[in-house]
Amino acid sequence: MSNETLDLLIRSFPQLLLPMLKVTLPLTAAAFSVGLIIALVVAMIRVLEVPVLSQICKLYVWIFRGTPLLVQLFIIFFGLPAIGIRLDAFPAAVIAFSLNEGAYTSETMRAAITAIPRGQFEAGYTVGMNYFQIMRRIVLPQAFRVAFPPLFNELIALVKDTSLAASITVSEMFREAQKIAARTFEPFTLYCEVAVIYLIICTILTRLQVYGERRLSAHEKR
Amino acid sequence: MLQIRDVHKTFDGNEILKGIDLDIDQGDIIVIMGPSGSGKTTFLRCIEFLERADRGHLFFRGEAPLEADMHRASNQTIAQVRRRMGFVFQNYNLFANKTALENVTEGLILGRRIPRQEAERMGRAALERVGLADRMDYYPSRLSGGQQQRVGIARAIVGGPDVILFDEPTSALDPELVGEVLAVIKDLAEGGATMIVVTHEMGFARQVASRVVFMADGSVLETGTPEEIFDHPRHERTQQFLSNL
Ligand SMILES: Nc1ncnc2c1ncn2[C@@H]1O[C@H](COP(=O)(O)OP(=O)(O)O)[C@@H](O)[C@H]1O
Ligand SMILES: [Mg+2]
Repeated sequence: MSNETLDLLIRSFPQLLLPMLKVTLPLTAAAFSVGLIIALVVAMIRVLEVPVLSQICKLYVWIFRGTPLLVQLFIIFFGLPAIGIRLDAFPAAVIAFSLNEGAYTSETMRAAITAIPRGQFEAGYTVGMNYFQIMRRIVLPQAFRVAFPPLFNELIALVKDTSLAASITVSEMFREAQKIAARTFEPFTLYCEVAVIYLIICTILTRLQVYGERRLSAHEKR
Repeated sequence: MLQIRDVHKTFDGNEILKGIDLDIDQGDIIVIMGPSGSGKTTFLRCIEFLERADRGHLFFRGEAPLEADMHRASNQTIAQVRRRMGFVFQNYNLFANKTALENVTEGLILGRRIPRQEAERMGRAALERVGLADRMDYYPSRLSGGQQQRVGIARAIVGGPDVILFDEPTSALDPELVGEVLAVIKDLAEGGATMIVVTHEMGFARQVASRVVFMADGSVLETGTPEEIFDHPRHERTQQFLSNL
């Protein structure tokens, strides 16, 4: 490796780390949190088979799982102004990623809830609990354990997917890398550096996932 | 003390219960036997309102009389009935995310709004009663089948029910674990508990049953003392069933 390359790697590192910390991770955290809330609501509506709402939720999941995330981003950022809704890039990205995440995650949660045996409900009824008490105290905690690994996988995928926000001008890490690459004519170095930073973040998250899973099952087998 | 009248239940056009009557007095141990598929589980589940009967009535007599139309009962009536009964499942159905003690106290705290401290005192007493004083903080996954079923029994008795319903409480257990569970049920019976027990444990029935009810095809075929049913069964179906046990 030449000295110039090394120099570039070192100089650009803080310029990449900063947008990672200030934009990529907050975008991920915001979209994942909002997505989880949407997912829980949608999953409950579909498990309870609430009339009308259940159909609406089905339609929502169908649309957001059946279209590319990039297209969703473009519709919300570039498309909506045509009908008078003008959003800044960051909020537009949060909305698109949240809705997309919510659609996928609601399916994960629904599957986890329906995987809990009916006997858990029945036992709850026999001791005088009502549906929502059983849901909150017995079923959802167990469903969360079931859903934890896939949810974490979705989180890791989301971190990487936020790089798509570069295409709607969000100044997250990948867009900053593009700018530096254009200025220095060193795309190979810059994009490899970006790849390594994503890799490090995802490796840390994977470690957290393993740790979390171990804690959850340790709790179960005391 | 408890009268059950004319219980009917149909699943997918098949009449599973064809009008079952049962009278239970204070301290009675009713053992229900009968071939697989005869509707024993469905009967218990209808009494507990885990299944909605097409027809039938429940009457609790005595100090606090309570009547329930088994087809039309409101949620409030159902809650009152459940409060007076304990239910023990064939496959335990312990709450997998709760310790033994929490399994027993959860219903007291959330269903009955009993303060936690009082509920835990009651829960410990119930677990001691079934011989699990040293397993209070264990999760179900760490307990043997026999221990799990004893937690199930503690959960059913902790609220002081008028009647305890057992649906084949030992049939999911390894043979060597059946004894410890039957011993607990016997102990409760000797302590004056009132129960309806679906079981095929003949020795147990002989020792503790005040009455044996033989069910077949959704009807009660015959009923009597253990001696009457086991030693002098009147129906051919009963004889056949008993000789195959
Ligand atoms: N939820 C259900 N839906 C349809 N059929 C059922 C259901 N539960 C029980 N049955 C049927 O009712 C009959 C009686 O079942 P069950 O009460 O479990 O009998 P037992 O406990 O005496 O073996 C069986 O034929 C069973 O298939
Ligand atoms: Mg049965």
